[in-house]
Amino acid sequence: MLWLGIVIGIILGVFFAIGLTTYNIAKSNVIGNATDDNETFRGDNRLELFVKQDRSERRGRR
Amino acid sequence: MNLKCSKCGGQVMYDPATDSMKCDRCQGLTTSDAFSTLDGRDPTEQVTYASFKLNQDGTGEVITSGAVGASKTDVELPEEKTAEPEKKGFRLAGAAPESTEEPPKKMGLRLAADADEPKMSAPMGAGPGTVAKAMGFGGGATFAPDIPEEEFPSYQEELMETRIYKCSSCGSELMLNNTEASTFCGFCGSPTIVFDRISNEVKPQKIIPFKITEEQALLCIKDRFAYGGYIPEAIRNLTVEKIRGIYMPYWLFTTYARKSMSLKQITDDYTHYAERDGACRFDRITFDASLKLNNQLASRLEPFYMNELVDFDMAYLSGYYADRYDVPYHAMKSNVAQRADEMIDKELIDTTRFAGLLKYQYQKSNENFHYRVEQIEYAALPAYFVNFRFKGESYSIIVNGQTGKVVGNIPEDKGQLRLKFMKNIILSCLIFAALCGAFFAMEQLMIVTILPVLVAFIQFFGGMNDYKKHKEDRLRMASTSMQSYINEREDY
Repeated sequence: MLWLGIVIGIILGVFFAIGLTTYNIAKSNVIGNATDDNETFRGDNRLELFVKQDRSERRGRR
Repeated sequence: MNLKCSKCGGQVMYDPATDSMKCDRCQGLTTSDAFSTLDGRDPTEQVTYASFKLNQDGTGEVITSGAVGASKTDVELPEEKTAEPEKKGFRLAGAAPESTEEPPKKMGLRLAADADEPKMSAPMGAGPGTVAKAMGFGGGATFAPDIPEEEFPSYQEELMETRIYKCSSCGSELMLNNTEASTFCGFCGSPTIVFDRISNEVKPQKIIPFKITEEQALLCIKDRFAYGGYIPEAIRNLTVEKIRGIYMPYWLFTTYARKSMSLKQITDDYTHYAERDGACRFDRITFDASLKLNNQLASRLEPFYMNELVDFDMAYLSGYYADRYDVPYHAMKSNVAQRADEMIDKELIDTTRFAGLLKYQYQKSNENFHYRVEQIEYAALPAYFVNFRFKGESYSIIVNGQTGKVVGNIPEDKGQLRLKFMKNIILSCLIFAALCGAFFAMEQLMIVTILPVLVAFIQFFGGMNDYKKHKEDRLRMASTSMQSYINEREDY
């Protein structure tokens, strides 16, 4: 069982390493991400809400 | 309400055999489209469009649509008469009760036909739930905004006399202050620039002057490169000989947007509903007006803070160059609509419990979006351009001349990449093998092992997703238009 765990661990480790490396490349070499348009262009204008209604219904359990 | 014949003034009724409205006096036929003017109203006035849906229990459902969006309410109607309008879907506007032989048993909410009757649309600025309350919230009822979408406003161009210089090396044309003479090309740095002509060009209304110097822009680039783990050493220590400050052409659209929608989320125990109708004004949404500069790259260069926008003066061009717009403002119409829609959508969702959820986690329906462009301005916004070559390929870095934000794409260092990948593999395999081995040895198979599996796969798919975006950016930067833009300006 111990060896089976180690083998599975190595396989998972490879997946994790690939994910970590690709993530780091993307973060490191893409310079300047798009900013939030809403923050930029809304300025001092606030959202005017005409309808705001929320409702929750409990679902029946089988 | 009686619908009258346009020829003799007699009462008209719907004739299923001919799919037309038939006058009972002159037997004349009138198509349904002609009825918007028959009751004396202006044809451009908002009219409720309607169709009927017949339920199995004998009740009818009036579904309004068109100018006022999708709304519905329950109405009891005679069976034999309600089915036909649904099939044909003609403009009803209150004609249904008259067109039936028997009066309807109950009419909860009649469709508006006369001015004194309630309309199933909420006028702009109406109070909350004007229609939603009447129709009973939760039935998918949402009323549409009533903003008349005006024609795209026009921009009054003002011309100015400028000196146009042409670079015989890269072919670019530059505008210069009339009091100056250029000695080198602003884009490629070549000294082969010659005065070409005096020309009348469209004068920008507004300008954001450069706020950072060339030296500060270079520092911004070096700072950004300093913490890139996979950036090649040669690029990290890049010696930039030429940096060009260029005023880029931008269109600024001040837009008023209104949207209504219904949201629904089904969880294990509850179904959550939300109805929203709201409006917001967005000031000076920026769109780059240069065809050759990639839109994605330009949008990443934002934000530009408009509180520093000033009236244009030729004196601001002193020491810098200006690019001319080659995308007219009316070509931006669909882009403006799309961006305004996305922004008002986010504003509305942020007021609900669905804020922060991923799009597939809830359903959106009954969306109605209207927008109105209130102002168009042509502005010159500052940017520094740095182009460099690495292993035979051209790369471009742009620095926002107001904020110092650095935008570009950098190739990864293959040697560094291999080294770090091996390090990551060794470390990850050791940790995961130790964890999984221990769990298996303790025979805690199913419950405990699931944790490293989850961690590994979340990291794998998350990382691959980010890398895919990075590759797409690289391709975008290498797209035909961007490549030609770089090629025209690269150093020889």
